[in-house]
Amino acid sequence: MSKVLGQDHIKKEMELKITGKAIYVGDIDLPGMLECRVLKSPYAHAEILSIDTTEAEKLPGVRAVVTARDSGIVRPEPFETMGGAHADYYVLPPEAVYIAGEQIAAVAAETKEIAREAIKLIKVDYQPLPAVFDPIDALKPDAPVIYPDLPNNKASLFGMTDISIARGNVEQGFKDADVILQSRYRWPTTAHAPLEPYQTVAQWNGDNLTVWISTQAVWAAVDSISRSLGIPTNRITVINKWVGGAFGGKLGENQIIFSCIVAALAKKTGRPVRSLLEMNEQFIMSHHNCGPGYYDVKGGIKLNDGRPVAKDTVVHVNDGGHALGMGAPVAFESGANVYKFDNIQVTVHPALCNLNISGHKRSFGDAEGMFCSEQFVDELAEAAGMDPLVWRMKWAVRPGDPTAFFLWWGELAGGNYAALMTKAADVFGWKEKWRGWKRPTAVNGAKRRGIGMALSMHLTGYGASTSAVRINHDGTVDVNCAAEDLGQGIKSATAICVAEVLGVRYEDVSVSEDNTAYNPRGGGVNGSKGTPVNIAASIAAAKNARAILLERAAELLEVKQEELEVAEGKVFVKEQPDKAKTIGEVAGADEFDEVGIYTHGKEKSGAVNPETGQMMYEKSLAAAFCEIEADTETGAVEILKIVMACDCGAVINPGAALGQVDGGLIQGLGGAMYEDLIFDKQHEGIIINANFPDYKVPTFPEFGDFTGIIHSDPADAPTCQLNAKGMSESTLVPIAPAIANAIYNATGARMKIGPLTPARVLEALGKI
Amino acid sequence: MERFAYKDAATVADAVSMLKGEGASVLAGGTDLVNLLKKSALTNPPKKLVNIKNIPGLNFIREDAQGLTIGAATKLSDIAASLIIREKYSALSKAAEAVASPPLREMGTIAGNLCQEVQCWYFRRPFLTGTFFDCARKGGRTCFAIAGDNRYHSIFGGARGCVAVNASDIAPVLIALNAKIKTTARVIEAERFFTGAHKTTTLNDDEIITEVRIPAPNSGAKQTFTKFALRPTIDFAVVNVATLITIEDDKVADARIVLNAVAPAPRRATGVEEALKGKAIGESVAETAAAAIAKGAVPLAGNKYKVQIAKTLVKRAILN
Repeated sequence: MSKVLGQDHIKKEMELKITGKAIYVGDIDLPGMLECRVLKSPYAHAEILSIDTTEAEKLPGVRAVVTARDSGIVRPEPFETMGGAHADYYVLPPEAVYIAGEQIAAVAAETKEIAREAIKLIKVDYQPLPAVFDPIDALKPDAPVIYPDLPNNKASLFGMTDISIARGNVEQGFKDADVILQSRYRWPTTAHAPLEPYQTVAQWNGDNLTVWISTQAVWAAVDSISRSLGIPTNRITVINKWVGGAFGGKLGENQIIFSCIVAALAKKTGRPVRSLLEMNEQFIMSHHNCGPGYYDVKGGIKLNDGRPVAKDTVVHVNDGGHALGMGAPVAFESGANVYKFDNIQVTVHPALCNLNISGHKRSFGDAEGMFCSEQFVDELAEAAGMDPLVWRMKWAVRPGDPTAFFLWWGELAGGNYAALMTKAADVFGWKEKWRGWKRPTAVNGAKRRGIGMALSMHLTGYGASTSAVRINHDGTVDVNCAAEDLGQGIKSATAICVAEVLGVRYEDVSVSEDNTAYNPRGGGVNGSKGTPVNIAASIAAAKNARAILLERAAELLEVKQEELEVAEGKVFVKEQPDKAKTIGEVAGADEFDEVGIYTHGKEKSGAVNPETGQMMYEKSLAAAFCEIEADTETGAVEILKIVMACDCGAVINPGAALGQVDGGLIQGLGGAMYEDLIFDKQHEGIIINANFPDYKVPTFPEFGDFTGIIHSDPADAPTCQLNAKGMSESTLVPIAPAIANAIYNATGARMKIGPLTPARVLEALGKI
Repeated sequence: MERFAYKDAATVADAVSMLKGEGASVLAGGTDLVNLLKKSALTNPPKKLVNIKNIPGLNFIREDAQGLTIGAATKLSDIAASLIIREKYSALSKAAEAVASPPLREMGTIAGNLCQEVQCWYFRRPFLTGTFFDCARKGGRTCFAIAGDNRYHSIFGGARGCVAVNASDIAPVLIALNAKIKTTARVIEAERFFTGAHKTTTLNDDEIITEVRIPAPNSGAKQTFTKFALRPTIDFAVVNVATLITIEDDKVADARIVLNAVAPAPRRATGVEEALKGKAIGESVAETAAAAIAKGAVPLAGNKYKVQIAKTLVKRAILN
């Protein structure tokens, strides 16, 4: 019986954060530190003819200016990126810009104000070029060509354009269908909107570089900085502090650009340099979700039992100005997974557009794809005349069913949609409220209430990580690993899991800061892998430490290892509990071995089902139910009630897990109702609402009555260490489609374009 | 943040003399002006800010038989909390409570709310974005919102080529309630105080508001204020409407209906007012009268929805 795992523990950093003592990168203030400001392109697509920095350099207080042509230590090489074509993507672009707001030059000065004034003095000659701002327009034969070597503006992932996966034969499947429906959905571009923008500080000590960066992945930062600056990784130290929200945004080249720029300025000036972005810059210079996108879906069912026989999904998605292919994953969970369609095909056309790069954003395309697919299965269930809950109970996948991970087929490792739906539907009162399709639950003049539901699925964890555990001579335990804590509580969750394995108290375990000078290599926290990969590495290390502990204790107590148990900080003989040593005594017992117990652990994903030979993919699942009130005369939609159940395998820290559910609700609701980066196509595709008043996220009163349910069952994560899988991303995914489905049932208007603003609702109702 | 000189005015006369000359600006709550300076959004930012918050006698709420008088530097939170205002000038109370969020209402003043700049995202574009719009309102030749994204802009045309809207919640209430605005130079009807022609008000550079006077409403008059915002907790109005409707013998004797956030200046819906006069209020009368909004509207490409919302808000205000 676990003593620590699954109990509520206050996150170790809470007191620091609540009392304002937690240190963020923006708090770092080194002696002699200069401030950096960056000049950005006003054009979506332009050749850079010349850059004249003479006047800027003369301004008193300016210490250095860098451009591609005078970049100091920045190598004139484009970034290397995962799988994509990575066309012309540089720290400082030498010849052309492809996105309005791209960095052109940077200044280091004594104050931010001087740096800003210097920016005004840099003269750039541009040759503006034609640009394209829509993923369907980009593929048209007459579209402007962005890169001559990428025909038709097609981006690629893993060397493939027009990326496709299939199972069965959809053409045959449609022949077997009684009803075939087709729909086109659209989603917007949305931002991570962290409250802490990108913050970076660089300092040189001889040939050694230290970079403080607010990030999800310190080791990936080391690699990327090393390549861009051409210095070996062992001369670079990357240090992470507490992170003020990340959501996938503090990962990848967009933020590495700033590390390299401040490093170059620091090298030129011989002084530390810091870059603190303003919020508007964060919106403009970050990558975003895979938007805008179009989702064309065709599905066929049998009428007698709603059997889903075939589904063919075609996605057109913006891939941004540098063709990284990162828009592509949008289609895979929503197109290929969740339901037992007999035949499935999914094709994605990521297209180059002169818009911000598509990339990681919480759920990596599933919030976008499932906004569409979860409305579409409602359309199918309606065609079958079935309650959407009944249809989903019947046709949602179960463990062992075919499930895709990106482009590869395997089987679902664990998860229980039926349990999630049953629990959440009971709390919500679905059976009492559901009156049939397009039947509101209440009507009051122009105001109509309705209910809807949706499911979600998101990959949880793929990759590798390492960790080190030391048992100290006083019985305390240190964990040394890169476990970037973005607010999700991974450091505390690591301590809980290590405490569980070693039989010590949560309070006795300390977890290191993220510092590549001494951390073992970690995999970063993205793709819901903090738990199943990063924490799993620490669990593996703790298990190895436990093995050493038992081996040594067996010698000391002169018994066999099998006779021993570890609990409450002691190793004792099961049958004779007072025959015991504290784990500190065991660790420090050998006076000629001061090192005590110190060992490593590693986790690498990739479980295979020995019976079927199939890859076993762990996914996190959720089910959401929602009631709304729509005002059919103003288009306003009020959220009355949401109930969402989420799985996680064995829960580690229940309160923190519920925090992830709450966070998912907030971000899901924001995406559903408000969030929309508006690219002004008339003015170089700039993001016109690059600020919090205009890029709207929900405030507390907008949530309605919310109940989050954690469904904790170790059987749901059979391949994970301690049966704990990730759960932070799937929680935001079902909110928007559940709301859209509720609007449909309240008003009869199918909301095919997000976000669900009053203007969109009025349009869908035919009122404007 | 832009660089500026900061002056504390001790008296109203002091403030007026400090404001003379080029490039000075009044600082009250600062919630709007300081934000513009932080973003370096203006072509010619003020070089001098004259703080009027320390001037004695500008912060008061006073009621007598003639009506209500409010000092220019009175905070919106104090107006929202005033029991007298809640009881007799309920539209003003609701409007004050509808402005922004509690922390901003604790800083923002009534006069500052009346003088606020437009929220147009072309006008307010921060310098560090890399794109600066030298728009008509800043002295340039183009209003970028006309071709660009105008979802929050005017549905009743522009003023000197600028289609940004006045988004004050307080202004339409003052006009509906027949308020007068006293400045250091004159007393002017609230209805004639706003222009929208590249600036919010008709104030001269060295003129400040000192108080707002609202006559006591007739006993038969009913007042309303309604705001439609995407997030009611914080956002500026997409549309708001203030009404003062006087009923005599079950019929509308007088109606003052004022919309804001729909045009460069607050806009009286005179067509609706005329359609109501002499009629008994009911669903079909309200519907027909409110339809007058749509007749006069010239929405831009991205804001037809605002016409529908304005019409609905007016209809509901009439029926309220």
